[in-house]
Amino acid sequence: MNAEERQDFVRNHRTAVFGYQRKANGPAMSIVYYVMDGDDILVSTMAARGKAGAVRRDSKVSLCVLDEQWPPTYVVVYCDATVETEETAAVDLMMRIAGVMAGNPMPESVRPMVAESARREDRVVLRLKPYATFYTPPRHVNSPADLPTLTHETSASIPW
Amino acid sequence: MIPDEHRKFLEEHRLCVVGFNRKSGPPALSPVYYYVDGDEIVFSTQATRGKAKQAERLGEVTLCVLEEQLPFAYLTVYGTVRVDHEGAVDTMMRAAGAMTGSEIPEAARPGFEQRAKEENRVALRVTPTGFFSTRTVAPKAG
Repeated sequence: MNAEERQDFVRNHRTAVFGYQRKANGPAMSIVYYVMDGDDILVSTMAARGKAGAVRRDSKVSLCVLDEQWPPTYVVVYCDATVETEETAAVDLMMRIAGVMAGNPMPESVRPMVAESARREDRVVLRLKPYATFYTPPRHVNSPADLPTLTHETSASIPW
Repeated sequence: MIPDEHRKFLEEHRLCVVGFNRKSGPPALSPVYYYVDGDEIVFSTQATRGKAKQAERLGEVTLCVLEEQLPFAYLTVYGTVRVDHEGAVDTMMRAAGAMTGSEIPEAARPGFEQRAKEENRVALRVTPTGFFSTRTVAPKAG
């Protein structure tokens, strides 16, 4: 995949493993839904959660964007992240995220309920600005007969 | 010891995203097929690849074990990791078995031995030290 194809992959999917370094031990990793805002990736979380605290401490985060196919294809996106606390933005993002989770936009009639949830959960927006991507093609064995033709490729990070 | 509730999830699945801290910047993440061997989670990589180098350097790793259908339930496993230079072929065969969904016949071993040699394969063996899981639930439209 070239840079443009990697960007398209990110734009055309909705789930990722979100990773950030912890103060000690291996990285924290969790699954998130995301939406795009121009070239930025937006993730909803709670202000008190680990992701928000981690971004305030260290802006560098990784997303392993997954397709929903089998065998899976993925693109890793390295990002600089910030926390945005404006309430309207948090509600707008929750509406959009709920829409991508459901596969259809949320109707405006549910906005008051979403806004109440955003207040109760103290929701914030994580804004991720991608600066590099990493990709390797999926390798899969369906039977031993696939072994001789199994591809083997290496890759490297390229700028977003 | 892997608690029974987590062992069940680990043994019922086969794909995880492996995360290593890098010297600078955010973590390196990549999906792999794994299997459970006693109290270790095992996967194959190449000795020259980032995962093996980071395992040697850091000794710590995180795995995010995935369901294969949305909404993805997942189990995050924190652990220590060691590089096993001896078990590369067995690990390739068992990981391939996880990929195909059935055990790889012994007749295929020479092909795996050749590939393990060509690719300088090693096994990474993870001993879990902690777990984290939540179940994601997708809302219904409208």
